[in-house]
Amino acid sequence: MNSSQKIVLFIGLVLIIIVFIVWLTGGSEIFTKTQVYVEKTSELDQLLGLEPKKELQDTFIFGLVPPGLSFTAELISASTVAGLIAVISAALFFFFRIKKQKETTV
Amino acid sequence: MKQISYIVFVVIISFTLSFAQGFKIKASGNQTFTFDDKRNQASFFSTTPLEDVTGISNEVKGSVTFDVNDFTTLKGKISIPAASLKTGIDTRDGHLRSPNWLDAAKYPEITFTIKKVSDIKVVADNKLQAKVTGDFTTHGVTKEEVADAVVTYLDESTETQKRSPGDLLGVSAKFNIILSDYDVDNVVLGQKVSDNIEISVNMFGSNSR
Repeated sequence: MNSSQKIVLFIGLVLIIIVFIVWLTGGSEIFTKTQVYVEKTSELDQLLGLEPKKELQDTFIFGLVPPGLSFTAELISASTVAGLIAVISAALFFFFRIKKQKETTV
Repeated sequence: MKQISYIVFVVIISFTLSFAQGFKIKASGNQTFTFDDKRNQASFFSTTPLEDVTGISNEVKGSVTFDVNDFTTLKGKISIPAASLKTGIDTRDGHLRSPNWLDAAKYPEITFTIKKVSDIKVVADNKLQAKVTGDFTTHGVTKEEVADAVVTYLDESTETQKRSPGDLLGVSAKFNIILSDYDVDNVVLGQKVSDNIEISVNMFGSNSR
């Protein structure tokens, strides 16, 4: 393993750890969400004995896995971002190995 | 003889009235309330091994009729379109509507038809707590379920007129169903949803519509 490969491996691991820290601090939700329910109530609702009304509000929550493939925002999750970093790191790792082999051959 | 008949009549009336439980409000007689406001909600709550799921419909429709002095006379029907349930995740909503789950195309309505009312407790002059038995229909299957309901009657006032004309009736009810009783395949997004689902309704209706 040459120094470039070590750097790639180190940066890749650090980025993956950061992704999971972001996921953990962002509520550790299993699925990525683009909408969440918020509760709203009024004085009259309370007089009528009604529980707070739940309304969907557009909010992005970074989840562990994507809930589906309906639209791009749903794809943004800890596992997909970490997976992408792993793939890019692996590609760079092999790129630097080939480069080193070529240099040695020359 | 006339006196005896009169006493028997008074005793029977008093006996009947003492067991008739209803609201002590300005209105009297039979009242019909219509529920069609977009603020009304019906929801389900379920658990999966990974996370809890709440689905909500804002398209609650229906009506109830009862004698304000005798809540046991309650009759009516509440329904929601099966396709109107939203969980906050589009893909999951699609699964809910699919043939394996609610099959919204084949069975478009989820309904609760009131059959009888029991265990009435007077919480306040305008508030009753009761068990409401009815036929719950979803996925083409009908079963009898018992809901715990709290019903609040508000006489028309300047405050209620801001929301809707007429007297208002607030209903908050909950009951649990077993999904497998309704031939529903309880898997959504690859997760096995609990067979026990809590259903709740929060709605108000007006008697002026």
